[in-house]
Amino acid sequence: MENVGSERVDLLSARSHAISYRAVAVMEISTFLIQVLNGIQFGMLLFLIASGLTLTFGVMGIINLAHGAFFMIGAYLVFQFTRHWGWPLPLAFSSAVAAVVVIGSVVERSVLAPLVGRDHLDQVLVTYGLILIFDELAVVFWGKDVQPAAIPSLLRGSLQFGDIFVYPVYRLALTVAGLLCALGLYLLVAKTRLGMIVRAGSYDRGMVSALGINVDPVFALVFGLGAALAALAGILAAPILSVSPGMGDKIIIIAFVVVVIGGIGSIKGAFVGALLVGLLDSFGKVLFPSVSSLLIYALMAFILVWRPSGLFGKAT
Amino acid sequence: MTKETMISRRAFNKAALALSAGSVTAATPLRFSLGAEALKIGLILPYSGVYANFGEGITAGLEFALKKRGGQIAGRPVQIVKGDDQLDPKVGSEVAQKIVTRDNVDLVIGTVGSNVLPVLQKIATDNNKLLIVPTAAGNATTREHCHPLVFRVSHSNWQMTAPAGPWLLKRGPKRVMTMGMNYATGKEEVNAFAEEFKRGGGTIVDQKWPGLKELDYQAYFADVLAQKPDAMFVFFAGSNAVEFVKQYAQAGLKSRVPLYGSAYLIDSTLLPAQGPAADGVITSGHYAPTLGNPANKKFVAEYKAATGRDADMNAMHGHDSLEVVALGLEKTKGDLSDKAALSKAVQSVRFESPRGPFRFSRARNPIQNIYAIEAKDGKLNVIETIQRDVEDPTEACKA
Repeated sequence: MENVGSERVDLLSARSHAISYRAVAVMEISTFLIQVLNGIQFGMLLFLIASGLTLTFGVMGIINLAHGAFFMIGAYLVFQFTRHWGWPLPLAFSSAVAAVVVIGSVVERSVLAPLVGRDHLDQVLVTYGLILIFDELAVVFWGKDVQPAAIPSLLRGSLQFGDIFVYPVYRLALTVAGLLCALGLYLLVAKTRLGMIVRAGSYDRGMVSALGINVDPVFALVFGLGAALAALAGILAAPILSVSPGMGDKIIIIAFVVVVIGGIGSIKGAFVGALLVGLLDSFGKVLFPSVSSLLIYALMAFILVWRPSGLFGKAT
Repeated sequence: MTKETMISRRAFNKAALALSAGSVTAATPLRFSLGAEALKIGLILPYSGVYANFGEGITAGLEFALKKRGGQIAGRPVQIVKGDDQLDPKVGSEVAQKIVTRDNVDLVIGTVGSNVLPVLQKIATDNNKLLIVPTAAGNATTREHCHPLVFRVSHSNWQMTAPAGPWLLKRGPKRVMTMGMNYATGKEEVNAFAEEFKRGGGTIVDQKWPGLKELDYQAYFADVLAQKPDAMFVFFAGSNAVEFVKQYAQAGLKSRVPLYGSAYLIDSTLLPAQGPAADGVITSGHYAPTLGNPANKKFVAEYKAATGRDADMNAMHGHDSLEVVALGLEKTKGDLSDKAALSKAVQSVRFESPRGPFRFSRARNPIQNIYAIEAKDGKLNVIETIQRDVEDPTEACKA
C-alpha cells in the first residue's frame, strides 16, 4: 500500500500534495479496480431485474411491484429442487426458470392483463398485494428461516493477484452471466422482428395494434421473458444474498431507481442505469460511507431534474 | 378504576356476595381463599415480520417451562393472553393497551424490538403492572429508563460485547476494524466492544455502518484488505448476518482477517444457512445450546423431547422469563397487589439458568457469564468463558 501511494505522490505537485495523498491513501489502484468490478457486478444483478421491469412497464404500461417476487421464487425453487429433491444443478436451474415463467404468465393473464390501461395507483396496489401473497406463500412452504444456497463447487474460492487484489470467482461468473444476458437482450431487441415490435410497442402501443399486429401474445412473451430474467437474477444472487421471504423486496426498490434513471421502457437505459447505480453504490460505500445509502436516490433526483424522462426515455 | 377496585370486583363476583366488595382490606384475604384464581399473563411479542421467529421461539420456551410446572405458578393456574406487536411501536401500543387495560392481565412479558419496548414499558408501568423483558436489549431499559417493575431476562447490548474487548486484546489482535448494522442495537453492541478494546490499549482502525437494507457488503471488503486490520469485530443479525458471513468467507477474507462478533452473528437458527462460511468465526454472548452446565443439558434434552425442536437462545429466554415470574411469585405466594414487595421478590430471584448462574443487578438486568462461542461444522461450541458475572453498569439507574 505504501509503495503504490508514494509512487503516485511523487508525480504530484507540492501544492496538491496533501489532498491527493489522502485521496490515494483512501483509494489506491487495486482497491479502485476491485470497486469497479464490484460496481459492475452489482450493476449486472440490478440489470437482470430492471430489464424485466422496464420491459413490462414500457410495453404493457404496467407497474409491476411483484417483479421482486419472481426473483425470490426463482431462488426458492432452486433451493427446493437441489436440497430437497436432489436434482442436479442444471436441471434445477432451468426448471426453476421455466416454473417462474409459468407462474409469471398465470399472474399476467389473470391479474395484470385486466389492469392494462388502468390508473397506475390501481396497479401499484394490486401488485403490492401480490408481493404480500407471494412472501406469505414462501413462509407457508419454506418457513421464515433463512435458507442456504451453496456456490457450485466449480466456482468456489477467490482469485488473488498481489496482496490486496482478492476477488471471489463466483462474483466474476455472475458479472459475466449478467453481461451475456445484456448482450442477448440487446440482440433480441435491436436485431429481431420481435424486438422491433417491442420497441415500437413501447413507443406507441396504439399504433402498433393499428398496424395489424396482435400485441397480446407479444405482451405475454415479454412478461414471461421479464419473469425469467428476474428468476435468473434470484438464482444467481442466492449464494451471495440469503434465500428468505421478502428477499426480493429490498432489491426491487433499487431496480425501480435504475429503471427511472435509465428511462422507462429502455433496455439501454436499464443497462446504463444499472451500471451507474452499481458503481455509485460501490464507490459511495467506501468514499462517502455516511451518505452512501442516499447517493443513488440523489442521483435519481438529479437525473429527473435534468432529464425528466430518464437518460434514454422517450420524451413525454 | 384502580387496581384494587378491579380485583375486589372480580373477587366479589366469584365469592357470590360473600363479602361486601370495594375495600382493599376485604379483597386481600378473599383472594387468598381463592387460590385457584387464574394468573393472567400478557405475552406481547412479534409473531409476524422479520423477528417472527423470536416471538415463536420465546413462546415455545415459555410454554415448555409452564408445562413443566404443571401449568401453575404459585398455586394459581395460568392463562396467557397473546398479542402480536409486529415489531411496530404503533401496533405494539394498541396491542399493549388492549391487553393491559381491557384484558386486565396481572403482568406482561414482552418484547423483542427495542423500538417497541418503550411504549410497552410506558403502558405497563403506567398501569402498575410487572413487566418482564425477554429479549429487547437497548441499554437504556436498565439504565436511565430503569423502573422497579421492569425486569430484563435477556441481556443489555453492552453486556454481550463489552467483555470481548479486553479478551480479544489478550488473544493477540491490536488493530481491529468494526462493522455493524446502522441502528441502535448495532451501534450499542459494536461501540461497547470498541470502547473496551480501546480502553485496554487496542486501536480501532475504522468503523463501518452499513444500512439495514444493504444487500451486498463486497464493496467494504476491498477496504478491509487495504487497511489490513488484525481482526474484524461485527454486529449483524437475521438475514443480514447470513449475507455478511457468507460474503466475508467468499471474499477470501476469513483466513486473512479473522472474524469476531456478537452472538447474534451466528445463532443456531442462522447457522444452517451460513454453512461452512461460519466455520471458525468466534462470537461473544450469554448462551449457546451446547453449554455444558447441567441445567442446560437438562433443558436442551427436555425441550427437544417435549417440543421436537432444538433449543436456542429464544427458547431459553422464554423459559427463563417464566422461571423468573414463577420464582418471584412463589416468594409473594402469588400475590401481585403490593408492588414494592413484588419488585423486591422478583429482584431477589436467583436460579441456575441454562445459560449459567442467574441473578438480577440493582438495575434489574441479569448478572451473567459471557462466553466465547465458535462455529464449527454446523455446531456452536463454547470455547471458553470470557468473563464471569458480567454486570451492566448500574450508575445511570436511579429508580
